[in-house]
Amino acid sequence: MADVMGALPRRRGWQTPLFIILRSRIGATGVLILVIFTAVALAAPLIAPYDPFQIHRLPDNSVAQLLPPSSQFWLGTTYYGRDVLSQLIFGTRVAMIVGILSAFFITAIGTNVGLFAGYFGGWIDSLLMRITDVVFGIPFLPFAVVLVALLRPSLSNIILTISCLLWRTTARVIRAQVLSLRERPFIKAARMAGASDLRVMYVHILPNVLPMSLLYVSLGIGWAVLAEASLSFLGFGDPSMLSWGEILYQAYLTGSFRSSWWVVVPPGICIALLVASAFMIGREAETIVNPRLRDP
Amino acid sequence: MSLLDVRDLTVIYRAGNKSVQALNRVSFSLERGEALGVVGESGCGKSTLAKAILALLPRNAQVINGSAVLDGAKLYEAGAEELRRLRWTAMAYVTQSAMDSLNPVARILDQFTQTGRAHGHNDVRSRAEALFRDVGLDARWLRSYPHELSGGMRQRVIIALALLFEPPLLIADEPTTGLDVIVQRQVLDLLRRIRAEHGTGVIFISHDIAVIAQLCSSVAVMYGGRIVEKGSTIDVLERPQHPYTMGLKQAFPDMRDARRELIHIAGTPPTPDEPVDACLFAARCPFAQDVCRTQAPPLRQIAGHQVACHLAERAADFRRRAVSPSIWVRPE
Amino acid sequence: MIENGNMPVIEFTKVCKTYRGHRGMGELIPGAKAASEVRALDDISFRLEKGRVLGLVGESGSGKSTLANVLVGLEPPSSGQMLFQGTDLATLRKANKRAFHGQVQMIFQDPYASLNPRFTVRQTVEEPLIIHRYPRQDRTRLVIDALERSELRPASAFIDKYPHEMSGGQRQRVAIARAIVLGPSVLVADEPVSMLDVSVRAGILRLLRSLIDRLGMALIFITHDLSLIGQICDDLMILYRGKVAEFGPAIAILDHPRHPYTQQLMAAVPVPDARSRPAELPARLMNSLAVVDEGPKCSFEPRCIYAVDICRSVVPAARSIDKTEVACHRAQELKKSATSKEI
Repeated sequence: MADVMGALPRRRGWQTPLFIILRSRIGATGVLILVIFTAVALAAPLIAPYDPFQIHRLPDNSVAQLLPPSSQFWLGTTYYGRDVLSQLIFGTRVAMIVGILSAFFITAIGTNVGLFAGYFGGWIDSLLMRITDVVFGIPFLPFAVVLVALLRPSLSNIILTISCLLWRTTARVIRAQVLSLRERPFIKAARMAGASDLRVMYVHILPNVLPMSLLYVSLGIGWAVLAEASLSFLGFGDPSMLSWGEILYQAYLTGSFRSSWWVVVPPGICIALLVASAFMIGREAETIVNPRLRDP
Repeated sequence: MSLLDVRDLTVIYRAGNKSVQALNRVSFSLERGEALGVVGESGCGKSTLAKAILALLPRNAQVINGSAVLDGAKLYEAGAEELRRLRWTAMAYVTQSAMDSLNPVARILDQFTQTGRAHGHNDVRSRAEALFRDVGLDARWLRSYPHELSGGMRQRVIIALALLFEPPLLIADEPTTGLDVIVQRQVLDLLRRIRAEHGTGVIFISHDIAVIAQLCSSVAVMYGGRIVEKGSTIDVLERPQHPYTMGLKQAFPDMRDARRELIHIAGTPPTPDEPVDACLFAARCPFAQDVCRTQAPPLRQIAGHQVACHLAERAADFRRRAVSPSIWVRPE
Repeated sequence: MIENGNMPVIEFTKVCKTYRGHRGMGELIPGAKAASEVRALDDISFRLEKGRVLGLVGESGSGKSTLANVLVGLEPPSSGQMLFQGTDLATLRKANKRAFHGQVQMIFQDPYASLNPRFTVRQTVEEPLIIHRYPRQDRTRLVIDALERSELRPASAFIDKYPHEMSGGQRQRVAIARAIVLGPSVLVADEPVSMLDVSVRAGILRLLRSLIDRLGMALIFITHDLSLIGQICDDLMILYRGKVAEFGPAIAILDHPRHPYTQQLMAAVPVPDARSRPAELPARLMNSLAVVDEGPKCSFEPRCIYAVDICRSVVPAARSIDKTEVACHRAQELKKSATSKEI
């Protein structure tokens, strides 16, 4: 029996979504990377060799500026004499916090908008979708820059900005799913049993769109990390928090971009890896949501 | 030489590291202009049979034994290119949802043109018009989009499309299921006419024995991937020898005797599973004996047609008893 | 409510349901007329009594699905009166929506799609009880009761299963259990067996009949398959394009259909007889016109072999012939000339 998108049977044991993701190499890799980054973020104070803000000095008391990787500083030092590796490790915290929190808000907003728009139809749908269209029309980076510049550049404002803009795709996708689920007999049966609209939406429809929502959490992490890195790189990051984008920004400001690869490449790789892992998980999650994508 | 000769066709599906048997040594032959009905319920393998003959099985299915020869061409030894050529020109396929497979953004005539071009014919317009006349549709609908036609009309378009190259073989898989009664009748009359006028051989797959009785001169009853009874329709329907066929007959309503109490066979049809050496109907059969559970019955010729039942000699007795609903009720 | 054995559970009087087509931007202009109007239900009148099964037969476009939706309260009628146990449905719904929902329940065609794939059997059957605030200790007992009445025995074997773990017949029984758990007076079954295997259909039909008899419910059995009517229906209503063509005792209609449309419908049903070849259906019947001119006429006229002038100018009213009501101008006259062979 073909499962159509969204009408997902709950499987037991070996068939749970987690195992399906882990079974494929891509999915397992994505999960592994994410787990590693999470572990690094949690254990940052324990595994970072130095305080990321500590300025190191050479024996002659000059700043240990832009030292290439060595046994003492595995990834070398920045222009200001700080250990790149430690900065990277602490930067993981920012990436994970921004990524996960933003992804959560994006999904929460988007799912609810999609639920209401898809279920009620009529003017509610029109209104919500017009709003979504407007948000779609807003170019992310310029708007984010403006927003963050108006408010204080802080972590919470960055999370706020990302969440305010990037829920749009989730909303559209969830709405489409709800539209098709709404016509299913089991929804009619629920209404006929006397269920209120809210009950139908949250007790009956939501569990069926949840797999799709979770997929977008995964993608949301990718978008958010990239967004934060972009903002920081452009100088709108939270100066008190060290993110990977911030490292790149500092490198750019101090002109060490071209000369010192060890300041630029590691954060770049980290960003790429984390975003890629989020998308890898998302790709496998999509085969759960749409079983036709699965290899037979 | 028969138009289509299928011998010992066996197909399995792979699911994970299990393989389940969808067809088990299915054999039959179809002459030119003959209509063969294939009757069965869900899981009996009838759709797999259609796809196996057309070599349209999904990737996880495999023909592990048997052969199918169409007009002399060995289908399982043919290459992909020859199969592609054979499809539509030598064998055509109409399914239940085919009416939904028309391209919604292309005019109907364009779909004929596209199909024609795929097989090297560039101008199919006059042929399409002739076919529309055949299926009883006004030629002006050629210029319409699919959504402008009703379900029944679309199904007739599909049949016209299938006949584009006058294939000697037409496989129809539940083509009338879901259509209104009057439209269904129209489609059946059409198929009958096509068979008479074009000499097309038809394999008609359905769960509806009334429809098959009206259209097909011979019938094969399938259960659990096997053919359990096969012969002329008159013979099989009037003197069924397999308990399953008897049960189906009693479970099926007849407009002429609308109040007759229908039976239902306790249990459910088996889903494809690993092959066992037993009669797959034994669990639901009111007449089953020990031998039925331990040995798969071979298909053999008895009293006019073929049946796969160890106890076929007692068919006359079973037929008498099968009429009473109580015999089909089993304690859960 | 006084239990009156003869009071109909449901009584429809001249119920209409009209759909307006999309008007696009025209919606914003006050007073703009609808681009197209579809009369899905036109002057439907009937009554249904306790313990009886009404068969509702119609093809696509007949309005039977709309009628079902209106009956169960999923859609409001455009006009007409609907009495439920003597009370006007509209007032009843406004006053006590939940109570109404508890009295009329529906069983759907697709046994897979009618169960929430993420709910267990218990959750599915319990849901109506939760909505109507039944206390927890009663709920389990009622769920098991409903499942066993639907012949899912022992209930404990099924209660934690998911829909995809069950066969079509079993799923339909779960749907039936869900429908009866609140003890409704009326069940509406919309093609309940057409997606099930033939060998299990009779079981579901018999179950429905026994529930009606034992629990004193009324059942509206919607189908396009005439051959099932004789199995459980007491009365029969034939719908054509939103209007009632024929209405009366099922056996009477099956034995002697009076409306030309009913006659053709029955003639078109294939019989499992390999020897006889059915007569070709009349060509006029195959006239399928996309748009039928509205206006006072019989909507079946373009396809009717007996059509005469009056059929093109006057809407046929229902007239009683024997025990049946037939909406055909010539029904009486055709009856006189009909020999038993003609049908």
